[in-house]
Amino acid sequence: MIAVTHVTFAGFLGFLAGLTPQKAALLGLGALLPDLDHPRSFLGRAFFYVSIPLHHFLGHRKAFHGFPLWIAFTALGYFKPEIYLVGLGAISHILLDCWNISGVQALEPFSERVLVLFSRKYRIATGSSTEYILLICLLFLTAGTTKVNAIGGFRGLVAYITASPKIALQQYKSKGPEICYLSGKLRWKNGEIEQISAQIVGLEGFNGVALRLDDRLVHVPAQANLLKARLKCSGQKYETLRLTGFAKTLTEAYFFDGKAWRFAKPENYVFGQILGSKLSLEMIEIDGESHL
Amino acid sequence: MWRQIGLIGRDKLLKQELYWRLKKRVSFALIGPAGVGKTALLEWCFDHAKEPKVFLSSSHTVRENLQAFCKALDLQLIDNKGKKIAISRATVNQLEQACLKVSDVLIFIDDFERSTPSWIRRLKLFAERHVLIVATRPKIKEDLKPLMWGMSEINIMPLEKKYRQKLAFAFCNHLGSATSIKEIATKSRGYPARMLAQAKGEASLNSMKVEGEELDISPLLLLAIACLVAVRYVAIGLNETDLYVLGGIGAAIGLFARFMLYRGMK
Repeated sequence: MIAVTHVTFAGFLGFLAGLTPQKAALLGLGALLPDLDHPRSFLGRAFFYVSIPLHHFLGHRKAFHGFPLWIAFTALGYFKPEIYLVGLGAISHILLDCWNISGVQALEPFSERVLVLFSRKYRIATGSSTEYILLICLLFLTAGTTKVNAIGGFRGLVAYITASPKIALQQYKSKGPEICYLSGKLRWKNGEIEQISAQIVGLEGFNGVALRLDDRLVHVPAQANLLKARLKCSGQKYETLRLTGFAKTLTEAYFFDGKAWRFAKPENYVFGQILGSKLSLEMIEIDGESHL
Repeated sequence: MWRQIGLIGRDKLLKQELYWRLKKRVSFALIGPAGVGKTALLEWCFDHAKEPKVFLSSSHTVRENLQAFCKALDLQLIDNKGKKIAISRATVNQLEQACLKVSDVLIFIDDFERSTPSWIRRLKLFAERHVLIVATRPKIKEDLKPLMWGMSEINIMPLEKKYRQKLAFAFCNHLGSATSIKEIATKSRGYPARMLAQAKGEASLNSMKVEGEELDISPLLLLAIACLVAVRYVAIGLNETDLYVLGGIGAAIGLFARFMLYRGMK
């Protein structure tokens, strides 16, 4: 396989796993490394002072293309994660090279068996037209996976396509106190269906959620049901506070009364678990005793 | 000549495995891929065995083999009228009758895997009366397997690395070849016949792949599909619907793609 195919394949695998472009680039670099044992390869031409001796002593697609070497190299990633990615890139190179007609002696120096993928008829010659078709397919797939990555990988893609409220709530549970929004369809108890885009306040009950719609709170499923929902997270977090007594809030805040979430406008009283964007509470005194 | 050169690096095998078997006249089989040096070893065995002995090949016709058998043992052929017949003029039946009259002959058979059904029938008769010593490739017909029962199987491995250079040097010296000795030694991967072909300049690297040398790792892809199927059940355990859907889609694609994999693996 030519260098571009190796890099594209490694990049594709990286994007598939949801890596950032920087990390995928490390994988791509790793995918170039094993071909250092050939003086006419992409890296071999640049670093001829390395590749010529390597080719002389080890030969092409032998020990330097071996699983023993690169698995040991990958294990060094325990100390530095970048090495881990480079090693994985090199292993992807070996696996793809097995699809070559000549195969790879990838168990060298322990065995001389030639590892191949598929029977001879279904293998690809280096630089052949079949390889360019494979390269074009890989390029399209890589471009596709970068788009998929933007919406949270393949799991995000499933959530986006199905727009299932169940998946959206499961995703929300794993987000912690992050401020997230739900967009989708709501079915009120009277049967009306409304397209909404609402901020999530918090979870309540067994499978319920409290949404802030305009200036009020909607309790799902007590007041309405979600038909379709997609989750979008802002990246900001709620400030949280737990009160043992009462306090007066100076900003908008939400509090959990033990059964459901409540909304408190400024100058209202709050108690229990408090959530808000910029919390500011005022102590109140009853009979000279602090209740904060 | 190069049959003898081809024995370089086989000293241990000759001393420990073959020589005592020949002395005791025990039946055995040399098994190995094409070009590994089975025939050279078998010829060495033939040279060092005691009479009576015959060297046959399953790639010859039955008639040729029976004639060779009769010639080697100098058998007298007599027809039903009591007249002598020349070996070259005798029928296959007459030859066979003569061969079955003798016993305890060491029969060396080359290319054993290429035996035809009519030759296998004669081999079965021979196996009861004589001692068979055969050279064969690893994959043999089902019909031949009963003949191998009780034979000790000696696997011939490619030459060890330390002997390759020596053998390549011997070949190049013998042929006066200008090819690089080191290149021949490394590229042959320990197959003497391949070394010879390279020293003669007859073969390129790619045309010399031998069956059994390659290891197909495509079953690993089947393992990957199995993992995709497993993802679904893991997702049920984790109570994650999106992973469940993804595992289901993956399993569906994998179960379809597996037919293509089977095709490629053949």
